[in-house]
Amino acid sequence: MILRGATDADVVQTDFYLPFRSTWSRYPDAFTNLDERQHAERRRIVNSLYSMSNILRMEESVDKCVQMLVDKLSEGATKGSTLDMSTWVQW
Amino acid sequence: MVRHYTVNLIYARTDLESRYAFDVIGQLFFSRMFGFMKNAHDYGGYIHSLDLLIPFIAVACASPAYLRPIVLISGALIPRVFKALKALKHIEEASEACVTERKRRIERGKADDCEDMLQSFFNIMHQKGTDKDFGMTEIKAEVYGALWVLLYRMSSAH
Repeated sequence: MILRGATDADVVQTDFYLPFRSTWSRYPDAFTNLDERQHAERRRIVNSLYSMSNILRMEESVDKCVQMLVDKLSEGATKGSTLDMSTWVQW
Repeated sequence: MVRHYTVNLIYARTDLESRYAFDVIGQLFFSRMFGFMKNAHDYGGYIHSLDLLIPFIAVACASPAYLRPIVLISGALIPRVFKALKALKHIEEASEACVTERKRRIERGKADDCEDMLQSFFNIMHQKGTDKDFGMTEIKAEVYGALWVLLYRMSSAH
């Protein structure tokens, strides 16, 4: 299994992820596309959205989620209840 | 009480590093959390479904392509696994509903205050959709792909 992001451009992704591919999309998604050239072309269209600067632009949104988690932990502490953190961090 | 929290948080450190939070993805993509944290429950039974499906997904991914349908069909014959598959199918339908709803809002001119990923996908579609062949199907595929990456990363962390 080879993950995207490998530094060697000649490394080819295997078909490991194909069960995740949607049956209705016109182009294979970035996660399961085995064609390196097409993957690069399609990825370039949306690349800017996944940049760190764009994520930082949405920092306020992440803050809302962090605040919600802190509020819920505080609520649990006030009530003296036990919280399963492995579940809470998934939420 | 404080000591109890500290111990749990130390154990949770690995999870925090390796998993995305569902609600964060909901907020970033759709400007609203799914409600896992607010309601303190497994929204749509997604996490429970994922736990049931992990063995089948793992075996299917590691099997030769010609054996995968057999693995997946065998799994679906188990009622609990079939139910879990339906629950995860709901993710696809829910993301599609969000995309359709946003399209309507944009058409009515009521999406100007949206600054999330979904809105950015629509902006791309309007700006260079014709040139790059990026339309509604591609937006749905992006959202669907992001949710699956999230699920897969979570299953990898188990």
